[in-house]
Amino acid sequence: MAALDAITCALAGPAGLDEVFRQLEVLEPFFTDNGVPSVMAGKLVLALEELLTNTATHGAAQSGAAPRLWVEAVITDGAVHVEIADDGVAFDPTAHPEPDVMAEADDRAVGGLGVHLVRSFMDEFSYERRDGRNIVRLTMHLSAP
Amino acid sequence: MEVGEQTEEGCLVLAVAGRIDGKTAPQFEKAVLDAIPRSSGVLIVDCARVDFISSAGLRVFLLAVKRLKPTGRKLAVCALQPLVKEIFDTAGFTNLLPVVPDRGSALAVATRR
Repeated sequence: MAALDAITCALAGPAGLDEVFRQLEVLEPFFTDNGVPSVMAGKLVLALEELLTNTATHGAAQSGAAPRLWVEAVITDGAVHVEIADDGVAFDPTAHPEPDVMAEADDRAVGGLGVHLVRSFMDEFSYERRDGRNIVRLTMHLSAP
Repeated sequence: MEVGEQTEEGCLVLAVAGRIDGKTAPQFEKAVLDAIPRSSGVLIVDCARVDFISSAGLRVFLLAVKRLKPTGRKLAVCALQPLVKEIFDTAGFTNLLPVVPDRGSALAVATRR
């Protein structure tokens, strides 16, 4: 099969919850309309919701100028790559401790569950702080069932 | 997202349709917390028409389990679509509350210890 050209969707806006859900409403059909199977598209949207709502919440806690949010999703013939950037306070989601997903209800906390889902469903999940921005990169291979 | 209420063999059933995400979770939470005092035996959440859930939605299920625990009543979730089932499994929620294939199995939870 001939390699397909990469298809890109780039979005930007203020790092707030309204913008997060606006972006998710654009990204989901971007994935499904470009050949990403629906369950995989669902996992990507889940990972994006978890990370972007974190960013919006942490960004909102920062004083001073309103932070901005950038998302770029690229579909190649074998994978989906997503880069999420924001210029809010430094925050590394990959450093979040793993929650105990076997604990009884009384001992359960929901904090960290979102990042656990991201870690479980994405093939790559990395963070760097560069030029005053948080940059999170995700990769999901499309060859897996 | 929409939440419909039904009664089956004396048990309250919340039939949810749509996405339970960060945007709709507050509405879902309100529906569940409102139903808890009116439930008896088992409160069933039928997810046959739920196509997406995020941690914001899972949080509501955890909250409901915690609220119901001292009452002796239970929460059962039925008819999860494959993606939603995988999210429940990955989050460890299938260990936390009965997740069953259909309403019939959910009703049986009421009589099981």
